[in-house]
Amino acid sequence: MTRNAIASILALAALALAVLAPTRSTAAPPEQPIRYTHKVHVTDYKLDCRFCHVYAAKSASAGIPSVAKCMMCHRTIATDRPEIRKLAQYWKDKKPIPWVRVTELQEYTYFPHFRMVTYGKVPCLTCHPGIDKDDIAVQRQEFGMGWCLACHRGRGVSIDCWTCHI
Amino acid sequence: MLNRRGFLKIGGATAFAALFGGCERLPKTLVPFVIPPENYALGESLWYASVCRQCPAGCGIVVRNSEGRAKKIEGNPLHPVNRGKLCARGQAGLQALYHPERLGKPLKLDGPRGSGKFREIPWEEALRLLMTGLSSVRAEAPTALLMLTDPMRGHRNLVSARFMKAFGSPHRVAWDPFGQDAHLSANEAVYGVRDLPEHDLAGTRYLLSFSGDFLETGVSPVHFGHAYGRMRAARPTVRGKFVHFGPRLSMTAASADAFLPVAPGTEGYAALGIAHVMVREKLTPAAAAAGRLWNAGLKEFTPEAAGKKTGAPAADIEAVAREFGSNQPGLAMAGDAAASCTNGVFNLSAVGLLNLLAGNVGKPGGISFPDRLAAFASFGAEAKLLLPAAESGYPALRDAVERMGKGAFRMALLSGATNPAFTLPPSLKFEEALLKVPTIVSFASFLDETTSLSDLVLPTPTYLEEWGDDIAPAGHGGEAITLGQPVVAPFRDTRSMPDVLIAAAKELGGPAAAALPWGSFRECLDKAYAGMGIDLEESHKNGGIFSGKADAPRRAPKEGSPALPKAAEAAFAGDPARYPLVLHVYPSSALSDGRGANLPWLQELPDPIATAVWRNWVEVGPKTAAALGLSDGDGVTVSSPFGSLQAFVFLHPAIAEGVAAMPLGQGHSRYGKYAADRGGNPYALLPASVESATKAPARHSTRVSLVKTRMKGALVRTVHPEGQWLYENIL
Amino acid sequence: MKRRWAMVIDMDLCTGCGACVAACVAENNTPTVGESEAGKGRLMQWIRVVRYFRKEEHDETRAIFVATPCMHCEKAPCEIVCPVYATYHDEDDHVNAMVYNRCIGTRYCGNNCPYSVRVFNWWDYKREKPLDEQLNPDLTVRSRGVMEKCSYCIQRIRRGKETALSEGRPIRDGEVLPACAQTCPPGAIRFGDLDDPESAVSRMMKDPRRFRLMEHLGTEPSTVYLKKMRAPGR
Repeated sequence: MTRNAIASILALAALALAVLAPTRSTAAPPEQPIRYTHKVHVTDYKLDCRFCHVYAAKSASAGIPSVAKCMMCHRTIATDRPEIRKLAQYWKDKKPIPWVRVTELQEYTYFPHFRMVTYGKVPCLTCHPGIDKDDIAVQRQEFGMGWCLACHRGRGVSIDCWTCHI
Repeated sequence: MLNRRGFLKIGGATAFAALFGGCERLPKTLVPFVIPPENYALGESLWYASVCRQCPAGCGIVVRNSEGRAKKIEGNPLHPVNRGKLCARGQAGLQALYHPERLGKPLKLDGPRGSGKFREIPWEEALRLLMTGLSSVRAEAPTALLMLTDPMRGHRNLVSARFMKAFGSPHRVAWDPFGQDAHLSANEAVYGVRDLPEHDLAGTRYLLSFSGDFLETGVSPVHFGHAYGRMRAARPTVRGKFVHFGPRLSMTAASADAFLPVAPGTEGYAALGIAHVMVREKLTPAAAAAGRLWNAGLKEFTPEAAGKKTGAPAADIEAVAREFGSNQPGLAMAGDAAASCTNGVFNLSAVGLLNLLAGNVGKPGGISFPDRLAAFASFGAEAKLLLPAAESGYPALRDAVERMGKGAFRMALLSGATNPAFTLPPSLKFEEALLKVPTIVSFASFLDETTSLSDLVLPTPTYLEEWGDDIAPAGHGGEAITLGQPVVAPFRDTRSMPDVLIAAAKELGGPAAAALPWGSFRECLDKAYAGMGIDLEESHKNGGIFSGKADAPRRAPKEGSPALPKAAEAAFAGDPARYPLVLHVYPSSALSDGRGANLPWLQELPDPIATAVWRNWVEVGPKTAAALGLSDGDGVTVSSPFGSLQAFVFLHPAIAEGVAAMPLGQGHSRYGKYAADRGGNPYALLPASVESATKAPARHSTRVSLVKTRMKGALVRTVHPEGQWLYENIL
Repeated sequence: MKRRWAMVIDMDLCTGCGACVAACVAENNTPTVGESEAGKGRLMQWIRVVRYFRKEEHDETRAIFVATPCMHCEKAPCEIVCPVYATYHDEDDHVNAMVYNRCIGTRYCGNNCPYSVRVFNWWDYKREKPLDEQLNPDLTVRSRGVMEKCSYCIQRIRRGKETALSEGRPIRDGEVLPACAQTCPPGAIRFGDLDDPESAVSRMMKDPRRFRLMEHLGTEPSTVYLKKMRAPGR
């Protein structure tokens, strides 16, 4: 094969990979400052998602529980575990915990959680599948526009551009 | 030339980069609270009520706070002055809060004195320097301390006053170039009340304005803007008529039904001409006063005589007078351009006469003198300190400058946005005098011309980050006290001036510490208002204490027997042969007196009449321009006997001939990259002349020449100067 | 619920102060472009106050101010020329929608607009820190290459709808106001729902002073004006 041909094939391959590459990597789960496990809290202890993610029913963003929320229980529960000790240290130092974002939407989208939760009555696991069984939280669902539209069309909800892209 | 091989190489490389670029997931942290604050709801904003300090009007504002950041300022709907509305300058307050050039740490001089070269130092060192200076001055010569600020109100003023008094220095000067000295004197002469009145614009049927640009600048533009809207639209069968006399068609004059150009400084003659017609044709209910005035000399001030002095047609003056007399309640207002001539008190007194003759004093649709002091009766002798001081402070400032020059001061404490080094006439040699003071300390958020002369700069929070109280100079009858609070937590290492003074007093001990006994300025405010029996938390939520009912206005004792104001012509410096045009300067609606020049939103706000941005200009009428050989857009050198600058010409189609007008506010040499070097400073053209009765600054007291000069660049305007866009085209 | 939003600008009240311009800039993350870009006609303000000089009574020149936001035309010339459907007429609110995600920057829409209300992001305008702390989180900060224009503060309309929905009631007249209408000191800019016969704008539509800009073009703007009056002579 000529060098020209090899170069063009490589280029085309690279181009194809770029086009077909997923927009967000669903590879390794991100490293969190405390090894919080959804499995224990949600599956084993049956905490409702909204107990911690308080604003999911009220606001555009679901929110992450404050350190005070965690300490509500962990002031007394499992205080000898190393991860709980880390939590207690944050509480003592009055420092917030810098969680690493797991679930991310595309840029330039407006996504109001409360509309899904309160009015749409969409179960949390629809968009966050498997998170209840996760040790370390991972985003499994790709939020491509087509996926969102399929559900919107199926439920007869607005697919107007401005609904999500102001 | 790109061939196929090259294209594919580049294409491949780009795709390769995109591939790896897209894979990279930048971790984003989500940081919740440790303990969420009360009232907090994620994604929902909280609105905090406070006071706007972008100009002296003191409107109430509510500020949207989203995740701890201020996002939007709106007018406070509960506030009687602005009723939920806000002007462009108020909106731009956010840029002052988040300004990249805001001072974040104390600065110490690191170069020659007056050079403006500083280095950052920690607060401990800064306070030590301050205390060393204060202690030694107090021990050796307490009267050698000067405090030079802008006019303060509320407890801020009280703290400063008490500090200086306890320190032992009488030298407290408050400088406001747009002080209302002439108004106060005129009101005292005509009505017998030395105060600023309320003008019931909303209720009047006929509004006469004499060079009053009250819709754009002045004492309370939002209040008057709102009232103007109500005058025109709130009454089903009354629209009101608005006639404006003045040297140029300003933004305010554009809203008038009739605009009558008059030569600068002749507003008093126009008013007397109108008064003459009212008395002559018995169009005034104040018959006795009318008779007395007529015999005292009003019969000489015929419309023809007024026309000769002003340049307005006598027939027009007569017609306006008849209309004004027959359409009561009417209201006459005079503005800064009429006040700041050498004959300012005459101009304003003549205008005041019209209100008396119209019989509208204390009546709806007219003027009234509320007792704004009544709300603070419980503060006793110090109540006056809480109210707005309407004076310019010019005589005291000139005295201070003279003393500075003689070396009478060892230390100067400077603060405020009125920037004397920028706004004072150069002939006063303020900078030279100030630098004779061995220690200059400034309290400031930005390095403007005055602050740059300091030895020590103590950074203050912006008004959106501090506690305070305020009483607006107009727009209420004394029933409103505005309360300011931080809308965001201060995010720079700043301390407010009252807090520093309180701490300094404590360290000085003795009478100073006794005079300022609180732990902080906030404590001072809380104690003061707790003593008035007010639910402070509720009041802060509302943005102030609005009792809703004002006490009855004060009587105007001279109402029945006004004296005829002594006529005087305005004096203009400069030989007319050499300086053929009279200079009219006006605060620009975007930049005000110059304090807004460092905010990009205001620099990019097109002037309503000139539509220019980012630069100033000089306006002349078409006939004047033709005579001088000037066209629109030409560069000219504007020279007065006192200074010169370069500017582009804007051919103004509705300006009195023989007048050159310039907006104030541009021409900074310091004050940051958005403000500096954008044209010349028109304040530098002005003489140190004074209004004859009050000794307030007479800005309209010089003549200028315009000489065509080559200049680089052009004036950027949003409306094509040739006017190819006609209004008819868009109908 | 469908609504027909409209704006009525009473030119008799408008003083030309420009508070609407500053409020819009603050609300909608509009960049400042600087003097040289402004000199090229690239100011980014979504509402502008145009000053016309015209000869009136007694052959005197007077000024008149026309605050010009997007007209939100029912028959918008900009909508039909976009090759990628980035601008269209929103059916729920009867507002001309601009979708930044789809825009590819042909600028055909801006060319077609007879009112010149569309502005183009020629650059990625820098917002020097910490000026960017002021940005409104409710709407996009536009990047280089997209058109933008007045949206009747769709983010406020959205918030108004959400609040009304959560409280189980319809939107009250005057509850949802674009930034310009909220701040205008004389109250010259009014905003409301034409489908509500009791709303202020519905009443003002019947005012004999009402006119639309360049009505003969047939664009059917939702932004209408009330003629300025002048009390007759002297």
